[in-house]
Amino acid sequence: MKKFLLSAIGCTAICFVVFFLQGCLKDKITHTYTILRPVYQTKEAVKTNIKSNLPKTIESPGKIFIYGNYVFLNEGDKGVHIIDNSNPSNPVVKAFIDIPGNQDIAVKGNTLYADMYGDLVSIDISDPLHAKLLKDIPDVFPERNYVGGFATNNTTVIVGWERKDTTVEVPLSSNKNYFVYSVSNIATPQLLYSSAAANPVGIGGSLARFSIVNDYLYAVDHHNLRAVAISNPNDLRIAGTLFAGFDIETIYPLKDKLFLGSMGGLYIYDISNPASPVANGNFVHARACDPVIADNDYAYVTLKAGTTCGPSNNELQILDIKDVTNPSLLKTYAMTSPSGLSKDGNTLFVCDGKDGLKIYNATDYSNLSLIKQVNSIEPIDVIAWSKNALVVTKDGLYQYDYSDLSNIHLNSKLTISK
Amino acid sequence: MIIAQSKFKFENNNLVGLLSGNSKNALQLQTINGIRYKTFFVGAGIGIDNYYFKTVPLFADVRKNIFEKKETPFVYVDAGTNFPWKKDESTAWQQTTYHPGSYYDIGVGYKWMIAKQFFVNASFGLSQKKYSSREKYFYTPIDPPVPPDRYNYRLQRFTMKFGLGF
Repeated sequence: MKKFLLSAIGCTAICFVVFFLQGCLKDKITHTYTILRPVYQTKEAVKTNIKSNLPKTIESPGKIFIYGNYVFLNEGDKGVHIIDNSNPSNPVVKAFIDIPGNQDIAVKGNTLYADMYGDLVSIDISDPLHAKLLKDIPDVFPERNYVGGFATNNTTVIVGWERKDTTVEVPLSSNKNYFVYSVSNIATPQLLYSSAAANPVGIGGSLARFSIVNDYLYAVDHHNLRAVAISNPNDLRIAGTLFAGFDIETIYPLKDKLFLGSMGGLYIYDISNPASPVANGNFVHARACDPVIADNDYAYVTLKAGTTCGPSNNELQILDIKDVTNPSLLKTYAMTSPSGLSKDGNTLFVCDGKDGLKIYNATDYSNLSLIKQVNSIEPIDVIAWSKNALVVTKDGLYQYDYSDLSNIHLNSKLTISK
Repeated sequence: MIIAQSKFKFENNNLVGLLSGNSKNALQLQTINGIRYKTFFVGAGIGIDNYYFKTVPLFADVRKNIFEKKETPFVYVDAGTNFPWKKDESTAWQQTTYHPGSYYDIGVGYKWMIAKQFFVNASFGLSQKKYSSREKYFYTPIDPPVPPDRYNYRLQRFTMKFGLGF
């Protein structure tokens, strides 16, 4: 009886404490986020500084472009590194061209074309170490006039950001709010082949959104394809704009065709009339991020699923494009998280996320055989040219010598500063 | 012949309990194993804690019986690390990674024997667990570079546990 009473008193005491003193407990959730405010500069001051300046360390490697002995490497939204690659075993960063808002580049002859937020600029690189601005055309890429919720205009340019960390307490049951920024992508110039013409073009990666073919620069944004006449780098003119599809990501030229990779498929445009691209064919796939390259007979498409790219599978698709009006799927290879790719002869290079760089013998499209897999890097894009593969990774620029396919080895690396 | 009996004895305690605080009430499970020496117990425990966000506390446990009897009140202190049940999760818009924090629990209870080797115990205490998360949003422009948002959680609750051990 005594034990029962003691137990009852104990339980009652516990209930009392829980019921009346629960308010003394306090769950606490703090949310720390970064507030960014733009730093503006007049456009005239910015344009004065679009030239070869002192070299900077690589921090955020982006799109890549090869031109002769030089490699032009985009530094995300800041400008272009000029790298002397005359000795691929010892590349040297020689200069930096400051271009706020730059995401894509292409080269033809002695002219570098780059985006600066919504503007297209042409830069004389006849002497890459003394590059100078030739022309600036505003509003070529109007989507990029809005950056993180802030609008640029024709008189000011965002050149940096002030950062301030802020911590607030949030209620226990609140849905976490987050800011969604529009991603504004700029077409990146990209060239696959080198011409022996008086103004040869350079070579870009598969993630490019610019592409130069003869006297026209073709640029894609999310939905549109623009043709810009560049026969006179001092007098750039928009020749035409057309709606090309939804969620366009990349552009790749081959002879008189443009291959546009989008989240929903592959679009092929004929540029026999260069000022007026005409839709030629398409291939629809499940939603995924989709860089594409092509040779005379086949298109090679990597599909990256998950995150913003959509729920489709991660894979490499090989399409028959002998009839470009009716491309058809030939073969699919499972991948892990593929992105950029490149091909030199029968050797196919695929960037496959945490699985590294995969190098295949692609002589038989139906039976790709893995020659080598470089697991030590997490590649984003690759250009394979003249037995030297330039690979942009999350931590820098790597170069691999593949002159002997049985002995593919690292030639050099330029890693980011940390 | 005199056989000396070791004064150190292995003890196991398996508990189920209720966590009550500002958030919804939730269940917890624990198993604690260690060594008893007279009125003292030292051991290690692991559990599943479903309060607000599922976590796995891993902790050291120290108990002290008030009386040197088989049935006795006791006090206890647990301290250790609180591990999130999942490491990360992704949606089309964001990726969240979870990170461990601290864990503690202090309280009082009562223990009584139900068979020669087996005992039951009931306890009441105050518990706190912490953890943090980093949220990275995919639709952010390259510039400005947006670092992940950081959330820190500190969750306090009353805990009532019932256990069976030997």
